[in-house]
Amino acid sequence: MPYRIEIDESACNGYGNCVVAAPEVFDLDPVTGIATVLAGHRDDADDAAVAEAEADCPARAIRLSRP
Amino acid sequence: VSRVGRGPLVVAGGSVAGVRVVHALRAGGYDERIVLVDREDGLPYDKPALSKGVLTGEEPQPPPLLTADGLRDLAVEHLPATEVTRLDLHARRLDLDGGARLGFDRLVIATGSHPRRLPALDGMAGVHHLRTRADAHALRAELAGAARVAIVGGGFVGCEVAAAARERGLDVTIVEAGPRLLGRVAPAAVSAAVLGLHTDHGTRVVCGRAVVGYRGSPRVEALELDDGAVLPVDLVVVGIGSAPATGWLGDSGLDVGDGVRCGPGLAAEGVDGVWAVGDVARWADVRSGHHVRTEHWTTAREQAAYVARAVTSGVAGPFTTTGYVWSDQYDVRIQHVGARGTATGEVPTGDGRGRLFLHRDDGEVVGATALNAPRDLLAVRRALTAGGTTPLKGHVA
Repeated sequence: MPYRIEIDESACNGYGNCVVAAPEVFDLDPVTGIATVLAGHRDDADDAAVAEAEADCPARAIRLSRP
Repeated sequence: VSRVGRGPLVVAGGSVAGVRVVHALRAGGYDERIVLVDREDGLPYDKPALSKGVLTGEEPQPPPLLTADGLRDLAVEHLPATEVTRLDLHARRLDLDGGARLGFDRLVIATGSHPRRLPALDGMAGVHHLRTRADAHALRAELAGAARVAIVGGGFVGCEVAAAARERGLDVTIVEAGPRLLGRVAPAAVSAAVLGLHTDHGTRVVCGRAVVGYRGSPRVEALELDDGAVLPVDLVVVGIGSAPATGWLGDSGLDVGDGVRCGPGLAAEGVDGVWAVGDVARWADVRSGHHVRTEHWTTAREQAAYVARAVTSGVAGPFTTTGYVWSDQYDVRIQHVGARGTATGEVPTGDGRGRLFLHRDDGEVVGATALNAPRDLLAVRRALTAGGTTPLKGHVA
């Protein structure tokens, strides 16, 4: 099932756990140091690594919304 | 003899490690009974905010680890406000406070740790320790009415509480018995940077001094230090580390000297179907060649996911972690990954902002600490995660 990845930029603290969990999908923005979703991955196929990234976020800044 | 069907899988402890075990078990398709026993009241919550936003008031309640709906969706039997008092490995049974007994097929020990106490101050009014939501709320209530606070212990928790108290406008002094802040975890150069951070924000730091007594009764009014100095205080927070919560395992037959002794795969030594995760686990770390115990949020989660995989798949290679820690103090995010090495040097950050320290053994980068340089830290962390050690020689990000 596809989902949309959303990052709450006010909650994100740049811990980087999401990038370690799913390096193909997340990065830290070079300017803000805040997590970003890499181009082409915002509406991704369901993926265990992304679910891991969501669960591993200490700031609970990642939301996966499934339609 | 098959153990299946003899009882549930019991997770003893409802903090981040225990709750993560439950999540990961269900995500991995485990469909047997799970019972989550937690000494704390209410729904499981996450602890990092207790020494930060909960104290400043920015985040009055710590975030939940599980909601009531989540517990139902996961089909977990949750026993809050329930202390496990004894483990009988022969009967494969736990005693719970109140007299109930709980048989288990498999057991994951995730009971965490208790703050160490300072005998010189034990039992005094106005002296706080910080571990639970209730501790944090009691401390916050007293911070609101205090002017001068002393933090005994200059580790991560002590430094965070100092920053939170300073942000509330209090007069703050950190008293550290060792020669420097973060002495147990960080190299001297990092300690110096963190010291500067605190003094820049008006927090006094006294290192190399032990608290030997107090004045005031029934409430502490001053601390006496071992050089004869007297430090007037309204409130004291003791943050001198923590000890694994293994009192209930005393006669279990498990080796519980400084945590439950586990093999490389986090299985308790000498027994089948029992694992330990989080602060309470002391495991045979194949990377260092030693039994080690950590008190890190990210490592606890990694251990939990590992044990859930071991249960569902039977796969049990060695557990390894790169060891990632963060600490928020004032407006600075301190992040550390890997080992402290034998030599530390500061290197320029990728964009000139923040500070980055690389830790090396024989020239090879084995760890890093960053102050407000998350991308630089992440680069080292990714390299260490991928390869164990990294050939980075000073160029990151």
